Amino acid sequence: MLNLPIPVRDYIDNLTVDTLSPAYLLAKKDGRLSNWGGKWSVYGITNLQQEKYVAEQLFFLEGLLPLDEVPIFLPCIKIKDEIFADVHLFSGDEGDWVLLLDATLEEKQRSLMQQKGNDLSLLRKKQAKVLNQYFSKNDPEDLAKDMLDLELKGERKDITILFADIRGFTAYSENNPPDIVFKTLNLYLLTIIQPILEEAGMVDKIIGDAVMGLFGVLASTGSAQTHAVKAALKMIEAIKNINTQQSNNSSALDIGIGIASGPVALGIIDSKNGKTFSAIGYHVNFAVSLENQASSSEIIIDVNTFNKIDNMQEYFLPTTFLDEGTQEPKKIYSYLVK
Amino acid sequence: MIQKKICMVGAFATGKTSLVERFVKSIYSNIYHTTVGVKIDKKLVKFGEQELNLILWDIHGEDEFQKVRMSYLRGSSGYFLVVDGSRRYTLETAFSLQQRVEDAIGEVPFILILNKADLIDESEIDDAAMAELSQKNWTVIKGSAKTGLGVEEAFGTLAKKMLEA
Ligand SMILES: Nc1nc2c(ncn2[C@@H]2O[C@H](COP(=O)(O)OP(=O)(O)OP(=O)(O)O)[C@@H](O)[C@H]2O)c(=O)[nH]1
Ligand SMILES: [Mg+2]
Repeated sequence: MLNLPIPVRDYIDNLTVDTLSPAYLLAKKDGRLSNWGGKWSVYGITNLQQEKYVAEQLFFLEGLLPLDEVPIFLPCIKIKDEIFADVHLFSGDEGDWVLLLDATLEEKQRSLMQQKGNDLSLLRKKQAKVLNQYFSKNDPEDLAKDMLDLELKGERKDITILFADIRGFTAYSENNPPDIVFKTLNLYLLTIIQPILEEAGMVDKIIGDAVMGLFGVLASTGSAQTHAVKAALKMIEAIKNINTQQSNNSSALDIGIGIASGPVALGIIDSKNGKTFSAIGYHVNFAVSLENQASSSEIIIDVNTFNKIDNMQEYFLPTTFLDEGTQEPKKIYSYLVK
Repeated sequence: MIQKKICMVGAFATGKTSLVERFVKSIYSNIYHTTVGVKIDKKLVKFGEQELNLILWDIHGEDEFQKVRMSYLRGSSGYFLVVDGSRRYTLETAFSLQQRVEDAIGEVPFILILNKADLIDESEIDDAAMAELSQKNWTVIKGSAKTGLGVEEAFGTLAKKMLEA
């Protein structure tokens, strides 16, 4: 036994009692309650009765008593609303001991992580299904169905649209054999798509050497704008990585990205080829225009996006965009990634 | 009063919590709240004169990062293997869990629920998977926590099996 001075031991004791709210009971080998104490009230248990069967009073103990010598540890059991306990069972000379230690805080922390992990995992799975359909040239029928609640049919929604286009691909395709061209295209497209999925976006369209991603359509935590800009940064980073991996200089391709946010019409269009998902509206076109203006490794975003990206604002410099239709200059923001 | 413990096991997000909520409270929600640790519910079922108190252990799902602890299964009289019919790999998870549960607590009655049967177009349980399942000679019930399909049947069948066991 660790030899601790009494004041230290007492301090630890108090700490445990305060933070872990221990509650214990002793069950006889015939399963009846013999003795109990500690903070049962924390767990909402106030009416324990001597000599009554323990499993009838605490139904989470059904099947567990009497213990066959081997202790049992049951972490994070929900005892009542919002209250969780680690349940320990071990046997002693007088019978079986049951000890509850509060695990409510731990449950809260684990819950956040687990939820995010599982949500992302499900999202990836859904998108992978969609991508498979794209790349295996299956009918991209019901593209949206996997990803959207039906209530979304023909809805107007505030979302963020990201448009990314591979630069120099046309020249590249003219100087290389077609099979290499398509292999490279696939590699780059998949590289661009991955960050969209990671940031809870959905891949709406792949048009030649460009990809359109929508953020804020699928439920997720955090602002759609932030997710989109993060995805853009990851894309540029990832493209740089594959460029350095590919020794041959002729394949030094790059991307430019445009991002705009605002209300668009989301809907499912029925055509003779089946149903396709579609986002329509000014902001979709605006994202395309911004992408057109972007040079290699440049991210250009509109004001609506800029306003919602918190501390990532510091990367961006204000500039202007001349709307060809209205001839009106518009304030936009640019980040040229070095 | 007879009381029996039943565990819900399976991959994450297969619908374990939803099935229990449908059975115990007749409610269903589309929103996904993952279960951390275990939630325990109970429900009284009747077979003629016979009354049985089911203690339902809704255990967290198995994911990339955490396996289900077999200590949770201790004292179970039966269990459900819950599979999401729209995610093929959740069937593999069920196969591996069944093995581990049997190693830990021995042979007790269990039923495999092919949940989310309402998502007909998205089903990933193809003929090959069905063939593999039928080879095992397990009790398999198609169900849906969303529509309620098969839920009463599943719990009723398992309860009966446990009483007979
Ligand atoms: N369409 C459909 N969706 C379902 C059905 N059952 C559950 N879901 C949905 O699937 C998701 C997961 O359901 P849960 O009951 O939380 O799954 P779980 O197995 O308890 O998940 P973990 O606790 O994380 O292991 C939720 O969004 C549910 O609404 C069903 O029968 N049909
Ligand atoms: Mg659950």
